[in-house]
Amino acid sequence: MENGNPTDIILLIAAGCMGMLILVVSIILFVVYYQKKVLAQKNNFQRQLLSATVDVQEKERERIAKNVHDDLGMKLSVIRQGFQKIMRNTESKELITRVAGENIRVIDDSIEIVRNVAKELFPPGLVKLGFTKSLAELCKQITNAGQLTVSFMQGNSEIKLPEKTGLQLYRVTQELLNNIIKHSAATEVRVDLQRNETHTSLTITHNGKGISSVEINKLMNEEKGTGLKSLQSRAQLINAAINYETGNSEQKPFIEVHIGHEEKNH
Amino acid sequence: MKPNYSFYIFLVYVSFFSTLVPAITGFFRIKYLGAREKALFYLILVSLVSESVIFILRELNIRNLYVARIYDVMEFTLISLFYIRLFDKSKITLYMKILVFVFIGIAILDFYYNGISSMDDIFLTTESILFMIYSLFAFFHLLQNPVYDNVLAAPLFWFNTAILTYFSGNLFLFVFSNYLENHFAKVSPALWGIHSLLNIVFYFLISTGFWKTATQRT
Repeated sequence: MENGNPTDIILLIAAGCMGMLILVVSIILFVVYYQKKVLAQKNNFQRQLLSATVDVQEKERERIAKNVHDDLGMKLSVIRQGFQKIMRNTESKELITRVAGENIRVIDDSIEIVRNVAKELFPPGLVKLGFTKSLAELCKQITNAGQLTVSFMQGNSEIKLPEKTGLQLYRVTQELLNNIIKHSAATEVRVDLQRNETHTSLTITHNGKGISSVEINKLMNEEKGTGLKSLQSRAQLINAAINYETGNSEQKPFIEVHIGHEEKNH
Repeated sequence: MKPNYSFYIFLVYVSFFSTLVPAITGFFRIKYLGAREKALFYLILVSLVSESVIFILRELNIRNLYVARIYDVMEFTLISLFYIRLFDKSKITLYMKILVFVFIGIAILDFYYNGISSMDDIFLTTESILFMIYSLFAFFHLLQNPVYDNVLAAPLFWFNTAILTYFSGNLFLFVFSNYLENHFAKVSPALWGIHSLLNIVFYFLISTGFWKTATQRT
């Protein structure tokens, strides 16, 4: 080789360098292409989440409007009719007393309806009792309904979360419990709330049929997964991750909601 | 016919002056540079100084290889520092730190036993392979942690591209550097012309990275 032509040596080395550069350019193009593809998928998923959130909001508004129209509207009509009856018979003291008594009962019912609608819009306990006690109250309410037993456990004496985080986590828990009631055929559920220096975790363990994160992702990609997308959207709002585990012979199915504490991460 | 190497020599001069581009860009973007980017900025400053010394010694016909060898050790340390700061939450940084000390130790032993005025092809080759691996990991890290909507807006993309291009392109040159220097010294200007061309690309990509540090994250 020592007697080789210098030009050949240059060409040989240059070819080697060129080969490596072609490889590098291919890697860089792949990185750019792959990142664009991932970004497009992410944007598409965000659009689906937004659409699901809007759908859920519309459905919620529709339901509230129906409640207000059917229940409250009817009660107010009854009260109106009662007053009209009184106005037509102002001299009959007995009728006035009877109708006024009926109207008071209907007004009480109406107050209850307004209270329930307000409670659905924003759980009053969250402000009054705090997140932990509201969650315990929710578990108690479901247990009292009789279909299944929901026990609530917490690691620390009181876990305080920012109001926005508390509300969204409460809604997420509500929706997850709702899904368990509807789809898992569970009879016992345990809600476990833990907090440490870096994160808060809420684990819902049950004795019904579990579902995996893979199946959840599959369902979310289908048109009908609106509730799951809404759940995901709420979780994203509070920087939470939801993990679904089907369980095995040793471990019951569970769902874990994990929230990192931002102030610790930055 | 005697080969004409004037174009390659011209490239060596362009390469020397192109060091100024990232130095100036880095200087104007200094307030945006984090600890990671500063490691590369110091590398550019070290490069500017060593290239100047090499340039002056070459003009004075004094052997300058030892300057390049000292620069190689500093380059290895500073680029390693860049990647250590990038992967700071990973356990791999411990091995990267150990490797820095091992490489410095090997370089000192090599200076002691083989003298400082010969090409250390093993050091350069190992360094190139190592940085190629680091840069591939960095691209993987960039794709796993998409902070930017467009990867081309990420300074890390440009710095990493610069390192991968430079060390991959030069790999063959580094592998055969000592052999070629000893047996084909007359073709050396042409081969180091390729090195200069890759140097220019490296400085241009590093400058782009410094420039992009002012880009707002999404």
